[in-house]
This record gives sequence, C-alpha cells and structure tokens, in this order.
Amino acid sequence: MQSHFRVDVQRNAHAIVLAIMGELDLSSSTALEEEIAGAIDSEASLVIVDLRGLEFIDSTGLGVLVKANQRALDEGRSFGLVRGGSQVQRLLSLTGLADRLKIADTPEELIGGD
Amino acid sequence: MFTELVEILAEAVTVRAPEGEIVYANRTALAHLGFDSLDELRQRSSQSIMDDYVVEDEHGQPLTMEDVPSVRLMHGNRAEPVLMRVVNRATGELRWDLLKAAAVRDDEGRFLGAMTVIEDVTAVKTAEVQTRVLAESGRILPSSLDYRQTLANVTEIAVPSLADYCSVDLVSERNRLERVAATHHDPGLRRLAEELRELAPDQPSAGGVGGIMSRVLSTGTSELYSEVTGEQLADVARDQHHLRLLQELGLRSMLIVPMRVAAQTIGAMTLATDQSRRRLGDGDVELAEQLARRAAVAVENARLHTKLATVAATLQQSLRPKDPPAIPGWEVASLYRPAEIEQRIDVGGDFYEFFESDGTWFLIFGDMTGKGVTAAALTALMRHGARVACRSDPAPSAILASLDEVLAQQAGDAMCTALCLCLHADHIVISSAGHPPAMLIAPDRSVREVPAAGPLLGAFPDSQWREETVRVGPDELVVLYTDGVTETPGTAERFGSVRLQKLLCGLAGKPPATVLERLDAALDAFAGRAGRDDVAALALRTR
Repeated sequence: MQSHFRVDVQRNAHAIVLAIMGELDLSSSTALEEEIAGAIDSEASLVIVDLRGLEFIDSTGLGVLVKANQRALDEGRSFGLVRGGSQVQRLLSLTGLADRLKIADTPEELIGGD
Repeated sequence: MFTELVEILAEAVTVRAPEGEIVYANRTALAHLGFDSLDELRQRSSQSIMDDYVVEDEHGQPLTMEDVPSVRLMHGNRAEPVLMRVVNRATGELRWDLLKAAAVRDDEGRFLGAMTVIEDVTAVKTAEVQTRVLAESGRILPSSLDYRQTLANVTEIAVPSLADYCSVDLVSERNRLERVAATHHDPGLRRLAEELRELAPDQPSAGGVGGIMSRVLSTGTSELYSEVTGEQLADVARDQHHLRLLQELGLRSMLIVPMRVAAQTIGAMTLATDQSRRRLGDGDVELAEQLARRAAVAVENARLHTKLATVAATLQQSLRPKDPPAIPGWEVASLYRPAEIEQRIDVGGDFYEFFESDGTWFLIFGDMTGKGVTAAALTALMRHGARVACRSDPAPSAILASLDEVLAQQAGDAMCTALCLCLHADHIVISSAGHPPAMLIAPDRSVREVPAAGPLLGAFPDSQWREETVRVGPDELVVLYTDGVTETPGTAERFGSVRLQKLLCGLAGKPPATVLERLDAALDAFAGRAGRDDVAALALRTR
C-alpha cells in the first residue's frame, strides 16, 4: 500500500484553500502543519482545508486539523473544512470534531458564508 | 670497472661463491650487515652471521639459510625474491629486506657464484603494517558490542605485527584491574602468557607491573621499557614465580599505553616482545597509543550501550501497560503491540489501565496521538490520571473530563482518544472521547457498537462527555480496540471496521484470549510485509 500526500494551495483576496490529497498520517502531518502555519501567517482572513481528495486520515492527522482550528481562531482568522470521503467523515464524527469544526460541501460555500 | 660501479650503488650487493661463503660485499652491504671491512665479514660464516638475527617471512614464519635466494641458486634451485623481516638480536632493531639473487656464469655456463641485491624496504613495510593494524582495528572495533571479544580481537591484530605479546587490562567499577584479553605470538608460549595472565595485578596500587600500570592509569602517559634489564625484570615481577616466567619468556621490551576516553583512562594496553628480540621504540608507542585509543572508545561505546539498554528496559517496564489484573466476575484478555522500537524502547501511544474504587472495577483504554517514547510518556500520565480522578468522582464521564483537563495543561498539542468503562456484574457504563466504539458480540453473532462519540481529550476547551449504560449478556464479548487495528495497512487497502466485525462475529462465544490471538494472527496475515502500526485491544466477557 502506497501513501501519497500532496497539498495544493490556492490563494485569493480573502481566503487560502489548502486542498490535501492522499493519506494524512504521522508521516505526512508535518508537511500539512507547515502549510497551515504559512496560511495562518498570511493576509488571508479565511483558511480552508479541502478534504475531498483525502483518502485516509488517522488520529495524528485529526490532531493537525484541531490545532489548525485553534491557531486560526487565536490569530483572528476563520477556519473551515470541505467535507471529505466516508472514512474521513466517519473519523471526524467519531472524534466529535464534526460538531466542533465548520464544515461545508465546497470552498465557495465557506467563502460566501464568511 | 664493474666492481667500481657496484661499489657506489645505493643498494646493498653481495656475491656468494659456489662454495657457499660470501666473497664480496659493497660498501652499502657492509654497513647494512654491520661490518667495517670485507675481511671482517669474510672471517664469519654465513650461518653465524644469520644467527645474529631473528629472520622471518612476512607472516612471521622462521626462515633459514636454505630460504636465502643466493643459497638456493647455489643448490641449483630457482630463486624467487624473498621478503625478510629481520631483527638484530643485539640491538633489537627491526628491518625489512627484499632479497633478489641472480646466478653469475662464465661463457661456458659454469656457475661462478650468486649475486644478491638487498633492498631495504623497512620504511615502506613499517608504514604498511601501521596502516594494516589501524585498518583492521577499524573493521573489528565497531563490529560487536561484546567488548571482551572485541578486545581479544584487538590483541590478535597487535600480535605479531606490533609485538609478541599483547594484553588489555580494564579498570572495573570497583577500581580493580581486570585482565580482559591476552595473546602471545608463539602458541608454545601461550601457556606462559596465560600463567602471566593468572598473575596479573588485580590492584592498580600493587607493586611491579602493577606499579607501572598504576602510573600509566593515573598519569594517562605511556611508559616504554625498550630494553628491560635483569634488574627491571626483578622489579616488574610480582614474586619469584612471576620472575621465572618472565625470564623464561625472554622479555625484551615492554610498553604500557593508556586507554583513554576524553580525560578518563579506563584501562591500559600492554605490548611486549621476547622471542622476536625486537626492541620497541617511539614509533611503536605512537601506533600502540592510536590502537589503545580506538579500543577505549569501543569499550566505552559498548558500556554505554549496555547502560542505555538497562535504562530502556526499566523505562519500558514503567510505560507499558501491565497484564490485566484478575477482576471478579469478568474474564479479560489483552493485546499490546507497539509498532516502533525507538531507542530500544518497545512502547507506543496505545494504553490501558484497570483500577478499582470501593470494589467496583474501572478501565481506561486509549490512544495518544503521536508515537514512540513521547506518546508513551503521556500514556503514563493518562493511566495514573485516571486512577487519581476515579478517587474523587468514580464515573467514566468524570474521569474523561479530568483527563481532558490534565492533558490541556501539558505543553505541546497532545491529544488522546479514550474509552472509559465501569464494569458491573451484568452491565457496563461506558463513555467515549473520540475513540472507536467498543464492539459487543453476542453468542448469536449479533453486533452492537457503543457508545456514541464524545469529543477527543485535549482538543477543545469546554468539552463534556456522556455515559451509556449497556447490558452485557452471558458469553457476550466486549472488544475494545485502537485505530491501529482498523488502520492496519494491507497490500491494497486497510483492515477496516467491516473486516474486524466479520472476524469477531466468527469468534462469537469464544474465550477472550482466543479471540485476541486470532485477531493478532489475522492482522499479521493481512499486513504481510507492509508492517503494522501501534495496536492494542482488550476482550472481556462476564463469567
């Protein structure tokens, strides 16, 4: 089983969208943490992590998302997720994160509602 | 004309007559052999001249007149060049000579004599030996953590290249000297060397060799006795028996060098020559010191490693969950397999702990994010935190709330998933903090997953946890697992909860220990060569 992980970054005037693909686990979480730190430090008022391309997430990956949410709020930014596949969503609800994080079906929904 | 030419050559040249004696030697050859004139040389027989030296080939095998190229030619044999390791018995000087000989014949082909050119290759060979000794030590020293064996190997490198005898003494923890290795070149003299080993000084403060060694150990400076006199021999000997042994060995030179690591001297290496008659000099000191320094580093590494391994084992003992205790009314089995072995500490982020309050048993089961020792250290906090929390409020939801608080106070962003259970005779009270639900498998293979998810520990500032009370029937299995089970990677996909549920259904009604054995085997088979993540599971049933 091969683990690919990639982050595509899209910027516009107000938002940064980090589209993550592949598997988010212990080995790939550092890469995402760095991208998120960069996004929070930027001018963007909204940081979005798009989970649609994510094939797998483990508890370490969830930890990164929780921390990102906390940091963004601390820095006065908004933070949101774009809904992922069944494994990802199952884990988000299992861990109670689905109730705590802002989750939408598309980035546009989050940007429009911001 | 020919003679004049030969006379001024830098190489030593000799001519041996058909009768066998040397009839000519040029100036270089005379100087080489230690004679002032040809007449002086011709007064001695070749054999008696050879007897002034210990002559060996480069492997340390003795050479005789019959091996000398010019003598071979004289006897009508072929004569290949011969490399000789020559030690002057009187001075103890070591030399390497390369001898090449050619037959001199008249026009009718009659043998007139044999001409030998002796090339002094001492500088080249000495450098070669030094390089080889250091290269071999570089290969041997890091090869084993058994430093006794390593040091025995080092003494074997030193003998016979550096000396006839080599031993290593280490200062033990109680400041005693311990003879760790000793080698002698001559197998026949091994016994003597062994006896000397028996007589080795065991106190750095003792006299004789012990006195010298004591100085080397305290000053960290080498001591060289190029020519051990009879008087010194008596000084060096511990007693009459020791003295006789040393005399029998014919000790010539002795060199004791410190084995130093940083500023500390951890032992000493002794080099000695006897039968080879070689005299050890300053060049030998330098090489021996290098060898001893390398050996010292290897010993220190091995000792440090042993110490670390002990620390690791102790730490592992405290970080790993213990086997479940005997719990009245319940039958319990556990599976704990950390994935990574970090610093030889076989622990991970998965944990469980059973504890009791007023006769009621509780259980915390969880998974700390992250892996290895860092995660394991926090699991200890969770295990002990749960015990403490249970004393003030013995309820699963309250225990989770307390652990959440404990975790939030930790530096870093540690998060944890957990299930907390209270075990009653026919039911459980269970609360979840973001953990995969427990699977309950009834004997009729019906499956329930409990409880509903609650928030992760350490994730949000104002979390709350709910409790569910779940009846557990006779022979109904309660299986708790960490996500390492369902996330075990196979060749194409992960193990997953569907496969887990199917496996457990097939094991309905089986004893907990059997269930976990089968689960472990199934994960092994599924993971194949891909390897496994941290895995923990508990299986329980009422009895």
